[in-house]
Formats: sequence, C-alpha cells, structure tokens
Amino acid sequence: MVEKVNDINWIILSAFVMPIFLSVILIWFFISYQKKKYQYEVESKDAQLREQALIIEQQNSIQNERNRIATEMHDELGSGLTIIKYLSDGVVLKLADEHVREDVIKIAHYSTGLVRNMSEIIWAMNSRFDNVEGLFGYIRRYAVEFLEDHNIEHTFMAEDIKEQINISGEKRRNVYLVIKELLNNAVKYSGAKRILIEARSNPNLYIRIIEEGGIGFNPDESKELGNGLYNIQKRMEQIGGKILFCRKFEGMEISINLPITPDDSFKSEQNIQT
Amino acid sequence: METVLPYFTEMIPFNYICLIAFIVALYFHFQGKKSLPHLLLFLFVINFIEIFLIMFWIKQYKSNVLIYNIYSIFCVCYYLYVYFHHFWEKSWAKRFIILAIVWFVYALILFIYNLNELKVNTSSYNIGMIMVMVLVLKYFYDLIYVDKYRSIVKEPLFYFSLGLLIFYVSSFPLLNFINFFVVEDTAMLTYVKLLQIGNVFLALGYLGAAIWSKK
Repeated sequence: MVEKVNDINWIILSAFVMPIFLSVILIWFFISYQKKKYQYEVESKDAQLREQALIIEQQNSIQNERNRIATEMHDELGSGLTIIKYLSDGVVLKLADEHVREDVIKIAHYSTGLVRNMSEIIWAMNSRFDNVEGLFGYIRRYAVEFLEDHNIEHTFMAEDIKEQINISGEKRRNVYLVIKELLNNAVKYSGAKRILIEARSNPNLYIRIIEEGGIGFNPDESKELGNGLYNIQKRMEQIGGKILFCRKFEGMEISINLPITPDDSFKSEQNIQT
Repeated sequence: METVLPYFTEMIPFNYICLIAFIVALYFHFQGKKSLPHLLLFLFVINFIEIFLIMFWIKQYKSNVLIYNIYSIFCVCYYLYVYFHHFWEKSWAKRFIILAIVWFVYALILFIYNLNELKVNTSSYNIGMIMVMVLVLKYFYDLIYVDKYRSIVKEPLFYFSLGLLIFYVSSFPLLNFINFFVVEDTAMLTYVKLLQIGNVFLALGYLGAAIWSKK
C-alpha cells in the first residue's frame, strides 16, 4: 500500500515537473534560435554591404584608370597628331614635286581621321559623358558636320532633357557607331535628299532616322550582301537594344530602341562620386 | 483480405501518421531523395509492428508486453543510431557509443530475465531514452551555440528531435510508471489515451523527417 502511494506521488510530481521542463527547453530553444537568426541576418547584411563597397571601389579604380588613359590620350597623342596635320598642311604648300605633295596630303588626311577616331574613343571612355544628353549632343555634332560635308539637307530634333539620364560608356559608344554607320550608308547608297533625325529618351532611348527622296533598301537582301547591316544588328544586340528598318515610298525609316537600365544609373552614380 | 482488414480498422491516429510517413518516405526514396539514415526501413518496421504484430500478439496471447519490450529496444537503438550518425565526427561520440553498448547489453539481460513475466522493462527503456534525450539536447545546443546558423525549417533531424523531445518528456510519467497502470484496470484506459496523444507528436516527428528529404 505504501509503495502504491509512493508511485502515485511520483506520478503526480513528474506530471508537474516534466511539462515545465519541456516548456523551458522549447522556450529557450526558440528564443535563442531567433536571436541567432537575427544575428546571422545582421552579419549577412554587413557582409553584403562590405562586398558591395569592394565592388564599387574596384569599379571606381577602373573608371579612374579609364579617365586617366582618356586624358593622357587627349593631351599626348591628340596634340601630337594635330601637330602632324598642321605641319603636313604647311609642307604641302612648300613642295614642288607633285608625287611627294600627294603623299603629304595623305598624311594630313590620315592624321585628321586619326584625331577624329581618337576623339571618339576618348569620348566613349570618359565617364563625364555617361549621360543621354551628352550622347545626343555628340550625335548631333557628328550628323550635322557629316551631312553638311555631303550637302544633304538635314534636321535634328532632340527632346529637351530636364534631368540627367545616365547611360554606360559601352552603350553610348555602340549607339554612336550605329548612327555613324547608318548615316554613312545613307550618304553612300540611298541617294537621300533630306535626312531627319529624331531623338527621345523617355522611358527608353529612342532614335529615328528618316531618309527622304532616296531609293531605300530591302534590309533582308542587304543583310546578305554586306557586313554593315550585320554589324549594326550585332552592336544593338550586344547592348540589349533593337533596330527596325522600314522601307517607305521614297526612302527609309530606321528606328533604334534601347532600354536604359538601373544598372546604367548605378555605374554612372559611382562615376560621379569619383 | 478478411484476416488483414481488421488490423487496419483498429488503427489509431498515431498509426495513420506513421503510415503516411512511410508512404512519403517511400515516395521520396524513389525520387532519389534522402532523409535520416535508414528512415524508410525504420518506418517500415514500426508500421509492421504497430499495425500487425502488436495487434496479432494481443489477439493471440492477450498481451503485447513481449513485443513491446523488443520494440522499445529497437526504437531506442534506431534513435541512438541516428544521433551517432549525426555526431560521428565529434570526439566524444566514440566514447558515448561505449555507454550505448553497455545499455544495450543491460536491456538484453533484463529482457531475458523478465521473459516469463508480464512486465514492461521500463528501466531499460527509460535509461535508453534518457541517453537519446541527452543527444537531442546536444543537437539543439549545437544548433544555437556551436554550428553556424542554418535554417531548420527543412532539416529532417530537427523535426525528428522535436517529436522525440515532446513525446518523451510529456509521456515520461506514463512511460515510467507503465507497470503501475497496467495492474490498475480503471487507470489503464486513461493511460492509453494519454499515451496516444504523446505518440502523435512522435509520429509527426517521423513525418516531418520524411517530408523534408533532400536530394
């Protein structure tokens, strides 16, 4: 009988103690685990921020190096080539031999081409120009000079950009080279009498070139014949853009569409910081 | 079919969950996913014992004590195996295994000694389960203070450990004094019902371990 009472006492005691023990363990575990999870999240965010800072630092140093190379190219090579051009121009006037004159004229001509190409490279490399406004300005300058040289009537219309829209150097350079190739083709093959260029940047970068009074071309046939259009397509694909060719009654309409991504802004913000 | 059907009709919630856990483990096994070591085999054995063997023994010999004694040793052995598998890299695990062997020998001796008596070997079961509880608590301790943070949401051993902890700690008074309840007919019915609730947590632990099998 005493043994039975003892058993009952033990059952009652353990029935009280064990649930308390279980609750204490479970509460301890879940509170501690939550605390550890919180610490882990804080540490992960710290690590992520450190990693981002490192990436920004690396990109900044690359950008600084690009800017340094651009500046040195401009200062050293650019001025040297300009001197060659002017000296050649001067020598041409003094030379009597026609053959030598022709060679020197070629030197002056190549020097002018090199200065222009180098200026394009410097423009593409320098992060100061990583914005849509700069791109439109550069295209406009080139188009006006080029079309005037070839006596083609032209109009350039660009929207009034109120705030800075960033665009990476790679995209700028590719868009510029595409426009250059398109204008070159228009002058060489289309026989267009008038060219209209329209540029917008909201929300995507959009440039439309309308060639009037020319013969136009069939883009599918032309792609098979030459490298020019193939290269244009390739360049646009490379930067995630699209180009559309549309043949009109007397001429062509070409549209370029390029999304401006947050990544462009991110890169350019860092450039501004440097 | 007529001889097998009664076994299924007498199933309790614990049995159903164990059976689902087995089906889930089988399904994931064929999908090439793995959970705890040999969980599928363990679930097969416990389902076979719980659904068929224990019932058969009761119908045949009016008592399931003999099977229960073997079954309890088998379960404790599997739990210890799971935790030794988990802690195998730790230096203390090899020393702890000696303790487990000593317990196993003791459990066997006790089983043979009480073979002819209608008595559940609570001491061997409780000693074994206390060893398992030590390993469960060590697992929880490591999760918080030793290991690097990892999500426990999809960790099979976490569910297995939680099921074992809730089952054993809440059912301890019942399991420890099982022999007292067995002789008290009026208390026996209440005892069985309470134990079944504890068993549900245990089965949910098995199910959780089976569900979160990984490739």
